[in-house]
Amino acid sequence: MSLTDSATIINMGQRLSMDLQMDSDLGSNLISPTEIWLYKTASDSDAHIHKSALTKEEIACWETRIHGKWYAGFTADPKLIDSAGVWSEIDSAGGAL
Amino acid sequence: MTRSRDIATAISKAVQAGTLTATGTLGSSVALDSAEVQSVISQSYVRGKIDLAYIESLANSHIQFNQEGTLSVATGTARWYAPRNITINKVEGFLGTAGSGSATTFATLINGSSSRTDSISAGATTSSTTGLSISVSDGQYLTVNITAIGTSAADLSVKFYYT
Repeated sequence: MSLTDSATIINMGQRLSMDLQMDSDLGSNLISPTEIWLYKTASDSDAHIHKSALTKEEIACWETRIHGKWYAGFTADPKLIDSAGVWSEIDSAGGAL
Repeated sequence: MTRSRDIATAISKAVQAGTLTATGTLGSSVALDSAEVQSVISQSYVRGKIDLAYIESLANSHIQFNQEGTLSVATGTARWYAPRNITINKVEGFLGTAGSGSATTFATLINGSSSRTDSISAGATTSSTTGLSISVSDGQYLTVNITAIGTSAADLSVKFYYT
């Protein structure tokens, strides 16, 4: 599941310091960040937090560390791998930061 | 061509800084989309306690790291992983408030190793370096460290253009 509620996305963006701004020159219209995929982990192991441990998709990955936890964000479904089982998703159904 | 998003971004930053000023001359090619401007203002540059945050424009192929507030020497923890093999060809630095006395310097790191260092001179608010060819492979990540600051320098943005 992803985060689709715009207010929640903005709120999460503020709390995670992730301001996502996407637009399209071709269409000259701003594409609002209407959907993001957000995960957190208490692990600080590079083997766990490296992008390759989360996804094999050809997409960008934003990560930041706040208060001892790593957060990873995507603007497309990363089809999460997480073979170590250390990441948990923050989605529209909830999930505390 | 100056685009609505650029104008909106400038307005947004000025509003955040409380110093809304206008300089330069608008050219005839400027087409302002009010809805787009409002949307950008509403969604971007939310001031807060941030480390280094990022904005990616999918169309322009650039990534931006921000550090808001009065600057201090800092090691950036925020990472941006390249979605594919890319080549950075331009690095720009912007300050909301120019530093005095000495340059504000920031280092670009790839996978934690220093790749290059750029400076914004004392009294200046911008720097731009073009003609670069910095390879970042799929799976590698960028971070930005602030390595030196001019007195009172604030609100740093570092933008990387890539192909």
